[in-house]
Amino acid sequence: MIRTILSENAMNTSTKTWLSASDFNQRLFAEESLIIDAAEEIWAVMERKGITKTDLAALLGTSKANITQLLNGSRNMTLRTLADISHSLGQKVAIKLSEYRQADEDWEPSGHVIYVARSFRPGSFEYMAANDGVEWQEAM
Amino acid sequence: MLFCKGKLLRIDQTPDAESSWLVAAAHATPACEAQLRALALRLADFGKLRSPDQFNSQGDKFFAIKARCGLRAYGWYHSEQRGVFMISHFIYKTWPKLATEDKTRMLSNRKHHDPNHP
Repeated sequence: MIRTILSENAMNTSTKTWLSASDFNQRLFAEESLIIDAAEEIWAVMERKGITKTDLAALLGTSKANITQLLNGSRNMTLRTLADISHSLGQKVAIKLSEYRQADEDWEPSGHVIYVARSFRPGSFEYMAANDGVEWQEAM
Repeated sequence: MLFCKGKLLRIDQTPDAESSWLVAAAHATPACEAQLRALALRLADFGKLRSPDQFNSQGDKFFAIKARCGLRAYGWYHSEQRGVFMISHFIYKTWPKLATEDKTRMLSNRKHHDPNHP
């Protein structure tokens, strides 16, 4: 069953058409989106702290290649690994599951939210990524 | 047709992108296609991607969006259409280095569709 995640009046896009084609496509998209969201949040913390993949590998006692594979999704990141990475970065993981929403303009992609943060400051990148009812412009 | 639309950007595509997608996507698995679409939508939502393995500058102010399976999109931030990232073309390839023909193709598409790009 295709979930009600696509707005009837929204602008048509190639990706929306593809998502509309099957629940299987939506499931794959949800999987890949979560992997990308997690990696991007980790990258955000690494950038902010000036930590490289080599540094992170050393902190975790693993190889840079392993970190690369974890961050680009070619190696599945377990929750345990995510916790280890976050801990190594001095962060905790916050996870929130929420319903898909009918958006005004387009599909709201962040049905799931996962972000790595030490504190949730209004106006911060983490706060924007949380997507919990805060408009982008307000968050900016 | 737009490729996707997010909170900050519209990901638009040249006619070359639309035609090259048919060729490139034919090589890709559904999961691979899902990854590229998810990367593009993340780019559209946040204005950039932080992972250099999946989004990086190729020089000459154009960028590659890279799915790990080999599906790629080359594109640029449009200089006159605010909030538009334009995809020049898609390719499927398994080698990492930018091919001269892809650079030439990208710059040619940009010259045609965004002639005043600095």
